[in-house]
Amino acid sequence: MDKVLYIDYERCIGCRACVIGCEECSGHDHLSRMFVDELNPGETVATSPTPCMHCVTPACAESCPVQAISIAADGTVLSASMEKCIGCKNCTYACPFGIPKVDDVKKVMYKCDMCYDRTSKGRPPMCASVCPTDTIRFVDQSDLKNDPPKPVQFKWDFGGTIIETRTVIGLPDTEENRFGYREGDGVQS
Amino acid sequence: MNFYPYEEDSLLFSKISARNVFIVLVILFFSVYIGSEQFGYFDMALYGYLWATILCFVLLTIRITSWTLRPPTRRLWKQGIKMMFSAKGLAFVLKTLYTNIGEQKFIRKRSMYRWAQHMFISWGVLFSFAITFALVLNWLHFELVEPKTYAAVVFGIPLFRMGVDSPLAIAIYHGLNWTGIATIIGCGMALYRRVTDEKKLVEQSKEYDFFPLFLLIAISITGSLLTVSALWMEGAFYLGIGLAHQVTVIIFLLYFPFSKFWHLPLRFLAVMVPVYHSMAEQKPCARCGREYATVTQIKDVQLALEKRHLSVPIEHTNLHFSDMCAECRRVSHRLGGYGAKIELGQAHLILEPTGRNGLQLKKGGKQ
Amino acid sequence: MGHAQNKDYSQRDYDAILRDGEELISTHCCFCGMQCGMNIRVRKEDQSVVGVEPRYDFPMNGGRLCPKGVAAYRQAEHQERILHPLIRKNGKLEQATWDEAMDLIVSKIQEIQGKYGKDAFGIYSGSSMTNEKCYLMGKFARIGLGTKNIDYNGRYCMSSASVGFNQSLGLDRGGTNPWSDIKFADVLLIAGSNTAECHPLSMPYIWGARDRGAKLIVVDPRQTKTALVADVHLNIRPGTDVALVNGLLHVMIKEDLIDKDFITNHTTGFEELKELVHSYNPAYVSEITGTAADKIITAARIFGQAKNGFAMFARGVEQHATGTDAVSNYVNLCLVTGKFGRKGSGVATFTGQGNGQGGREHGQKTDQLPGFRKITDPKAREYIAGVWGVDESELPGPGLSAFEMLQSLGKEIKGLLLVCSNPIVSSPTVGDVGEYLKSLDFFVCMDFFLSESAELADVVLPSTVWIEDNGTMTNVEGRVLRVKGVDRTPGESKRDWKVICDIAERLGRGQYFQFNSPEDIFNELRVASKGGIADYYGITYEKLDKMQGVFWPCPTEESEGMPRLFEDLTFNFPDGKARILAFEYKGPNERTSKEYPIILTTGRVVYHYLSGNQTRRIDTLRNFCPDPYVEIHPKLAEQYNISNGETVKVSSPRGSIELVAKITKITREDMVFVPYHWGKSLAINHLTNPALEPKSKIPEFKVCAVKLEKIASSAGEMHG
Ligand code: HEM
Ligand code: SF4
Ligand code: SF4
Ligand code: SF4
Repeated sequence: MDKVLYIDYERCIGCRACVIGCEECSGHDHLSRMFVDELNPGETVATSPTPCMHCVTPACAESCPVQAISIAADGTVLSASMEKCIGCKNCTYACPFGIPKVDDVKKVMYKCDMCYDRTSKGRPPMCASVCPTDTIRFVDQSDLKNDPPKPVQFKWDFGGTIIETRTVIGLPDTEENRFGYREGDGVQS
Repeated sequence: MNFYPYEEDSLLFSKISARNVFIVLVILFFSVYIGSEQFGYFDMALYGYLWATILCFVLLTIRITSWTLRPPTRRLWKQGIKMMFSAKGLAFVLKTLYTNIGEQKFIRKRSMYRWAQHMFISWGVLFSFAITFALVLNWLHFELVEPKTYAAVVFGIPLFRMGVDSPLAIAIYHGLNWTGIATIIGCGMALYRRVTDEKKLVEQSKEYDFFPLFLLIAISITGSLLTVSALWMEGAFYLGIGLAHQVTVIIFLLYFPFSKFWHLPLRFLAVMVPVYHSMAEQKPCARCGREYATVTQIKDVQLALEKRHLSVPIEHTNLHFSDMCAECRRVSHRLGGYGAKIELGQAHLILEPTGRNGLQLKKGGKQ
Repeated sequence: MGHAQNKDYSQRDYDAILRDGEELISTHCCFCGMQCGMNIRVRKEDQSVVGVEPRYDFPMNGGRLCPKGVAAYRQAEHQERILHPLIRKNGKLEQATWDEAMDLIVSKIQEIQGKYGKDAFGIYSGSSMTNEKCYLMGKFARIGLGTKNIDYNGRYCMSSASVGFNQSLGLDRGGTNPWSDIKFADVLLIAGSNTAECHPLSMPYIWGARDRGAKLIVVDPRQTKTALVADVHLNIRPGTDVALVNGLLHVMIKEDLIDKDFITNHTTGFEELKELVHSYNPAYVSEITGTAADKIITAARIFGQAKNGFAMFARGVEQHATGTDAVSNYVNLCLVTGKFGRKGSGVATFTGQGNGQGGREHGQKTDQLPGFRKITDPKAREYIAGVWGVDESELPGPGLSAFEMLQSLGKEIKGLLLVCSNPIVSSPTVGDVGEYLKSLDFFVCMDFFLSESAELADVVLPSTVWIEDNGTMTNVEGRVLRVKGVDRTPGESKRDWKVICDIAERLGRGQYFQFNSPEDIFNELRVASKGGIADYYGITYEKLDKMQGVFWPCPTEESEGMPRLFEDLTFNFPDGKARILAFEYKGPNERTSKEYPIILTTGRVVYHYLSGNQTRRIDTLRNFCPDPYVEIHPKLAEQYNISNGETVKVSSPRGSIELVAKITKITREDMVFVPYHWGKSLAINHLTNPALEPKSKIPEFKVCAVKLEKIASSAGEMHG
């Protein structure tokens, strides 16, 4: 079964268990590849995690001058090859989702590889394993894309450039405005 | 992989490759011509190596041409070369050349063990290359000028003399053995790490991984055995070993441009990077104002992406996502998901989601 | 798969990954009452602890962990661990041998008890350790030392909930239901709990209920991560819970949203309640609580109309001078609407400490004997004396509660043994507590890191971290669990139960402490708790492994425990009826004044555990939240001209500290919030009010009056 990451970010509590968990995967050299960002500090405690979106046509790889970024057979976009990457950071700027990081001292780019070590053995990545609120889940790709539990994002249209991603983002329920961050609200007494 | 094809003149690649191959061949021919003193000295034992070497150069030239034609690569080369025209830039590049290629400091920062291993392999192989090419292409040869004295002749010019049994002569004569031993040590270390660190690094454990190490070891061992045979075994099996060595070296030469070893030419581009990052104007993020890149590099990346039909614009503005820092890119997508407005404090614009998962200028969003 | 009791939990169908050269120890997190299951990765070669691996098959968390859980193992190889006994010489703690340390301890105990009487040596223990250790501490105090003065830090944590549950239901088990029941509620009312940050692993259950359409009502002064996703957020003024609940009850009674059959058949006291809440109309309650009347009405309707639901709460409700009233009042919500004894209906308190539940059951509370027995009950004394093989008259009576004990140091109490606690960070008026500790004749502390309290000790004994020992813990639901450890004791560290047995031996009381393993202790605990309320008699290590934990009471070998309490709607009183108790709103002990016009409330952040002695030392956790801060609403900040990141001095009548301002709209305009995990000059407990709740003796941590001053200089040394 082809499983992908699903991010239902209205559930995120900003605890960063995923960020620390990421360090624990054996291929990760104790460098975390996960991001958790505060969405509007001072206004709300809302936060969101962002793993790599695993684009079908990755801008990161396309922008790499030494073709250091390869794609595994299952579509996972891997970290840069250790011997090729020259640490130029093109990928960090090209990525529309702000994912790759470059270690300036070790001169190498590292990014989410879906815990290749785990997923290649059929186990969920560390972030999806530890996430205490099920914000990050590891679910069947076709089920999720064909029959999503709520509105989701996995096809992105940037002024005509269509980027399709394996990772799926679940959108907050803004229709009924029930959960999560409501702009400008603050706390009503 | 689902990459878009290059849409530049499809003949361009062939044309440029042909030109480059021609230039390389001409240079090679003349260097051999001069080195062998008008084909006067020609070691026929190295004949097979010669053709393999020439073929290797041709393949390498084509490979490098195809690589440098990729838009991001070409941009970076051009930028780097441009910067080398200033004295400061040149000094910077030379310094990087030493730290990055010479002592390979950055690998030491990754791990001491991997650094030691790689110093053995890379310098072992590079010196072997140097000696082999020099001999094969007749750039260098030794002439017996007196019964007990050799002259080292480089490109036809006798450079220095030494006694046949002098330590220097032995060191030089067995140069390939020393570099071979270094290579074997390095490859041994790499193999040991493969076993103990099993699959620690995904990117490293795929495809062509054990083979290159075995190949290097095979070359080094057969090479050393030649010496052993000659010195201590009165030439026993010399021909067989010589043939084995020749075969492994030829495989290596032909395999080189398409394998793990391909990183050697790539690494020279790394030398441009520090200069590229530090010698241009810094660029603030359009949303939060933090400096996160150089103006030049963002332009280069946007250009490279455009050539590949992968531009990521923010609609109805002249900005791209790459005009924001990585964190602001991540946050903007999420705020868009909440239907919240996204204020680009620095660019004085307000954005909203497009409804197609992109972002666009909010109506009246110019401040 | 697994035992039927675990059917509706959140386990997942994956196996853990076992890597070459390693083994997995399947155990539980040490950092809160959820007791999430986890695998610790141990390198076989040298028994070093190298990482954590999800334990997908454990029902409660299914491999999920909060950041504390992920990083917990990093304590084991931490370089700041104490590896040798330390003795104070010339004012400095210096390395010593175990013999020196033990000789000194025993001679000091004998000297002090000889001179001032048995009760002059006290024990202050904790609730983050195994049931075996908690039980042993109680026994050691009573018949090892013969002192009545033993109490524990759970006094600051769980005591109000305990008293409240006992007075309303006749029994105190943190959750009346298995946690999986939460998924089947139609409404969840969560009060005074930032569940998302403090008990993150409850969130899958809360979302489970939401996914089925349940409504969420959150009572919290701040728009926490929990409140952010609520349908109704009642952001009341801190300390006004009793009034709020009276208001909710008022609306429910007035609109007839109550379960009359349930009230008549299974409760007493409803009429008094009805009369008392009559005056608490929404407008009046809105005025007291500072939250809108229509939100109160909406919340009452949602809760009243729902068939099934939970009232859940935590320290925000309990750490008040009227904490037990508030607890019982929240219980009233479920009693009046008949939400008890079913899948999806009940009450629960979120246990803070790792073994907050088990730690309050087996006799380390000063007024209690194992099995939740009262120390003043002659029958209980008789029974326990029998189990221990001593004469009933040898058992001391009740002694001083935790904070009272600290206050009497140097006076009534001359010597103190401190285990598993860091009172100089966690108590109110910490400045004074330091003085109390310093006035002791002799102070010995057991810990694996040199806590702020341990720094003041005369002798420090190195103990082991949680994964270096075996035992049981009892989680938030009342599920007893098996904690497993690596077989090692780094340096000269020793397991604390072993040390206690050694001291008893040297004191000539060794015959009562012949234990060779935690399991030996547990087997005695089983007998000691037999027939008590928290009856563990039928629980064995084997059964715990087989069933992934057993819910008490489990009175017989055949019994498989009782996941859901009160299914027969018989409460633990002679008449079987629950007590509906009515409470007038009294408000917090300290009111704001002209000089101190702002309310201060304190709490936790997701990265730290209690006094922070453990989590502040773990790099990743510390980096995510290195220093305390003060949350101020923009409007309040404007009044004082404070901007984000500036340094602010916060003072109460008892003390002051300087903190960095974090301006945020999530808080109320009439209050500020400060997290409490730091010591010394960064301890907010310099300011908190030591007023004790009369029944539970919990200090009023959650409300005191403060003033703000902006200061120009920097906040001084921040040392996380
Ligand atoms: C002198 C310029 C060179 C540079 C800057 C360079 C750089 C690198 C880097 C950065 C790595 C990754 C190391 C790591 O992170 O573990 C690497 C690996 C490697 N290099 Fe080079 N390299 C150079 C020359 C060579 C040469 C001439 C050879 C031999 C043909 C070579 C053979 C290898 C091999 C076999 C590995 C893989 C080692 C492993 O996976 O354990 N390198 N190189
Ligand atoms: S999200 Fe970014 S890093 Fe990931 S594949 Fe796409 S472009 Fe590359
Ligand atoms: S930083 Fe490395 S992976 Fe990224 S574009 Fe540059 S060379 Fe490629
Ligand atoms: S929720 Fe509690 S028990 Fe679970 S991992 Fe976090 S601190 Fe540990």
